[in-house]
Amino acid sequence: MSITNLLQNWSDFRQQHPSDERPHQEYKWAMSIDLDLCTGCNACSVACYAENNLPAVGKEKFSHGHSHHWLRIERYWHNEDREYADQGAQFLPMMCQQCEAAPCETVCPVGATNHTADGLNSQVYNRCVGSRYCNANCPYKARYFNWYDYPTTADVWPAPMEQQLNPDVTVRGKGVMEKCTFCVQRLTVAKSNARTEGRSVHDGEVQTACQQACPTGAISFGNLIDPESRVAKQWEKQQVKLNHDKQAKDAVHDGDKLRGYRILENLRTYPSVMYLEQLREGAI
Amino acid sequence: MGKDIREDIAWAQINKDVLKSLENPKKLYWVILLIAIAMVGVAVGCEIYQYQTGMGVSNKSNSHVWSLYIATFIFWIGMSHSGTLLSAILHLMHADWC
Repeated sequence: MSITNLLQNWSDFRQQHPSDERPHQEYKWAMSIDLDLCTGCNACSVACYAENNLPAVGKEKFSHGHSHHWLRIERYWHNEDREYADQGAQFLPMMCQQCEAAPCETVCPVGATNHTADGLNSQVYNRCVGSRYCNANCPYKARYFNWYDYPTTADVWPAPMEQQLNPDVTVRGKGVMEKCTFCVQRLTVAKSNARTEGRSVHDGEVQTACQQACPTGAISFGNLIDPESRVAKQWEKQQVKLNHDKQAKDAVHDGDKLRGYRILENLRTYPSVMYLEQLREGAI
Repeated sequence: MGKDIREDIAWAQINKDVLKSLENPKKLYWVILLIAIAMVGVAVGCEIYQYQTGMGVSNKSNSHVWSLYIATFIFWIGMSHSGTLLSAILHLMHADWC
């Protein structure tokens, strides 16, 4: 045990990537969000509520921080000298980034959150004991806890809203952590169909609810392993690499400035969501 | 400062104070005990209420995931550890009472 040995081990550890040991075989679900196209209309958030049976907790609980939107629109302002302070907001849809090296996974005392072979960060509801370690450790704060027994006690789906509940998704009781799943119920169906027909899932065959609802098409979703998929092409064009913790952002390539980045990459979480930097002036 | 400490303390009084805990307690003791038991009862009730209603009633939120619970946990852990440390040091140093 010499100091060079120590440094070598540390440097090896720093070079390591979570998918080195078990590479993704057929699928690696990934997303890219073009912030230039995002208008902050919240349609994705609403679609997520409808698709994933999210409880609408109401104004009072929301103001207490018991919010339950798996996909939230964050607002940022850069120009303080504007006439009206709220002008020129920039929007950023924030959901679970499905990290390759997820900080939430390592701290779960019961192994309720795991990595799937498809590169998803899964959450097993009936294994979760509600310790909230994962939420405390999530740098994106994209995990939401069931602070109350919403489906039975709180009036989260007033009639006739309960009729639009999605039968493919479980309704979660109190004391369970949950988060964006990349609409895993749709992925499962698409994969099962593809397996029956002896092929792999086509690009565009499966859409997430937020992607479906986005009026400007800012969100694309697909399989990163398939080089012909829209997402893989976008990642390729922006030279964003899954196993890098720093991207070639702001470099000029073919006359265009690269604007692809992933959020808080320096924490080495290797997220699966790429954002494209907003270039245009903020709306209004 | 002038007198030695051994001349100041009445040894009989110390004896009396120490042995007091072996005698029948005063009325005030029972009152304090009752209040303490009532407080424990309220706490147990609150705990049951919280388990039945959900953790939200303790006013924690997604950004304050443990709040007062982790604070009190650390406080009592710190208290007990410091107590253990102090008495261990006194024991190891063969410290006497005077």
